[in-house]
Amino acid sequence: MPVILLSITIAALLAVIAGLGLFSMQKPVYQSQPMPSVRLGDPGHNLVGPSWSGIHKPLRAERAVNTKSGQSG
Amino acid sequence: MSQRLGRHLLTTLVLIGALNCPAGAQHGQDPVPPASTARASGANPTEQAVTEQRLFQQQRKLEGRISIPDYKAALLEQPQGRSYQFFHERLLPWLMGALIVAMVAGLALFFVMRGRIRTQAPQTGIKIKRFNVLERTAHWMTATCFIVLALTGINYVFGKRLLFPLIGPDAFAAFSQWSKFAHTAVAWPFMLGLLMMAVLWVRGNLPDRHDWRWLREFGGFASGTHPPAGRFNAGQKLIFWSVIIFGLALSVTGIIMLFPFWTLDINGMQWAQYGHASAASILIAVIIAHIYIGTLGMVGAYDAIGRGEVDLTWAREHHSLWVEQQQRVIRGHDDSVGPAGVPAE
Repeated sequence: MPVILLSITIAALLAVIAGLGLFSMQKPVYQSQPMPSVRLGDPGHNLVGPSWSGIHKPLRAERAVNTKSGQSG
Repeated sequence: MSQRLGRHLLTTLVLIGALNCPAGAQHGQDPVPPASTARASGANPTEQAVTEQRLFQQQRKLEGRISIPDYKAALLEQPQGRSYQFFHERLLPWLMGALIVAMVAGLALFFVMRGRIRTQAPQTGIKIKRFNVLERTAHWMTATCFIVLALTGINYVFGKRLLFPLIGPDAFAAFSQWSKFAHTAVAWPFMLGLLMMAVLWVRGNLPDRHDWRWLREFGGFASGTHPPAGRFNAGQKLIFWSVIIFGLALSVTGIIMLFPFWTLDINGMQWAQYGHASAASILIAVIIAHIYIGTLGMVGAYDAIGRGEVDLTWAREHHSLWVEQQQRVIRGHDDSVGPAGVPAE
């Protein structure tokens, strides 16, 4: 049993090292295939900005317009 | 009166027909375009549009021009893609499923008929060393990795058919994502273990003159007596070479897929998947048999690779030539065995 546990530990350790190595080799698409005409997912310079969470939050002006239209309607 | 009733009936039928027109249009074929959409010449412009079949009559691929640097995206469709889809979505699940189910059913039948294989003579209590720590570490590291690789690999084929309906889309997506990470990471210690086992055990697994007799007598089941065998019998040699050959095939095709389009084009990638999936299906079935005989099927087999030593009776019955060789080593007459060939006591 100690040898089996040792083997599982070694396998897990090597897998983590291999996984980190593979991850470090990968490049985002905006780095691996840069081009002047099309933006491909650069998180720092894309249209929605670096901190976009995927959930649309309306701006204060949009909220005001929506509230006003809701009241008038 | 009858004329009035007739008018009412006619009006009702017209109304029903008018109400049903949209529903009928949903199920029927596209209607003939009205005259206003046709050209002045009366010709239907969509009739002249090129079809997929006509394009394939002229060339084997549907290709276009793209503005992104990834030139592969310009290839829209080709016949090999449909062959690959047929393999991946139809043939492979049946092939893998049939191999696994047939192996499990065969082993279950064998267990019912034969039961556990026990030694014919009583145990002596004398232990003989069968595998050293390095050998056992190589075996268990490879085994651990193979189980992870097999389960995560099976998820590629059967996950969306079996697991997805049970756990739902969110859990299945998360599980598959982590399965993919595990599959690509664990592949490396698997390949290392494969290399270690090949180096450590290739000598003992070379074919010899006793193998044919062992196979002919089906390891003693046909004759009722154990045929002579060296450190590894013919059955173990078949397992070893299956692991080495199919493991090598899995490693090569796996590396090709880990670094996509590095050496091969889209057709080569598809062939790599054919090879990877086929080799995996066969090796999973072989390893199920190996696990069975090493645990439930044969009493004492687990001790060999679990604790590294076996009872002398077990060794004499299953590997008589190897035991004789060990005894010659003790007497100092033969130094042709490996480091594992040292009796425990």
